[in-house]
Amino acid sequence: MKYLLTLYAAPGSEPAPGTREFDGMMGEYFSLSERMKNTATCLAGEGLQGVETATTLRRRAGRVETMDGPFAETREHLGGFYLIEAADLDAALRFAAEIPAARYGSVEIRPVMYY
Amino acid sequence: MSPQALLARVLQQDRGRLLAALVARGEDFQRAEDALQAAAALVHWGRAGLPASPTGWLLRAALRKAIDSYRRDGAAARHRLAMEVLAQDEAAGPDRHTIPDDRLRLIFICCHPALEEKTRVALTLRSLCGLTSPQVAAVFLDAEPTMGQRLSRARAKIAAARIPFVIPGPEDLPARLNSVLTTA
Repeated sequence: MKYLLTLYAAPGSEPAPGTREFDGMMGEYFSLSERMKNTATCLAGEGLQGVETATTLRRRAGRVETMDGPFAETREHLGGFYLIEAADLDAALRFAAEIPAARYGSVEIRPVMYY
Repeated sequence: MSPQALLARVLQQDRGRLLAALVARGEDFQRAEDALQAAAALVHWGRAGLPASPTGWLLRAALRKAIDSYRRDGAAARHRLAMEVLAQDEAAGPDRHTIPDDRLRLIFICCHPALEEKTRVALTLRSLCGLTSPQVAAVFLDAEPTMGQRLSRARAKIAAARIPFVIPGPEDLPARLNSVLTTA
């Protein structure tokens, strides 16, 4: 079953680029899907650029409205995602626990809809 | 003892065992719950006399209801394995003593950390301790529909997120056991 894992962290909560902690964290991210391959299959995963680069679009009554910024102002910002294939929620949770963002922020785990 | 009183007593004592047996075969908590309710509604023991094993009778009736519910769903291909297992059991004619005890797995699923603490307690009381939904509502001083919704949502989440019906493996067991003990 597919799960989408969305990673949230408050700005400044993660190690700053250039530090040794940052390099350690990135190493964990790069090796994650290989390390966890017996727990879940990583189908996709990306880090996102900051919310200051975001644009939000809505279409109402045929008119396209764009807004500068994320769709909602939240304390923790969406920073990345993983799309994984796992046998059940427990496997998805074990994968999520290894994501560095779980230590500095939050990881939401949601099953993907099937039609 | 009237058939209705006997039914109430069987459900109170054996609900956990019956539910666990149904969930084990179908992996769908909500469907198991619905099947058991539907089977209980069928009870007409007064006319035909009391069955030798009321629990076995209920399980067979519930298995049939579960099979029907899978068939009605149209997504039968996805559920084929579950339907086969159910059909085998229904044909075998289980009695009380041959119903394996899956209640331990049921406890772990009811106390899963993905469920809110109040929900864990409510679901355990309902599924394993023989309380009716109104009785569980009374324990929490909640209105019955509110508690009913809480329990429904929990079962729906268990199915949708695929919370597994298993005894946790060694790496998960300490934390999961802690959840069960604090709930209890």
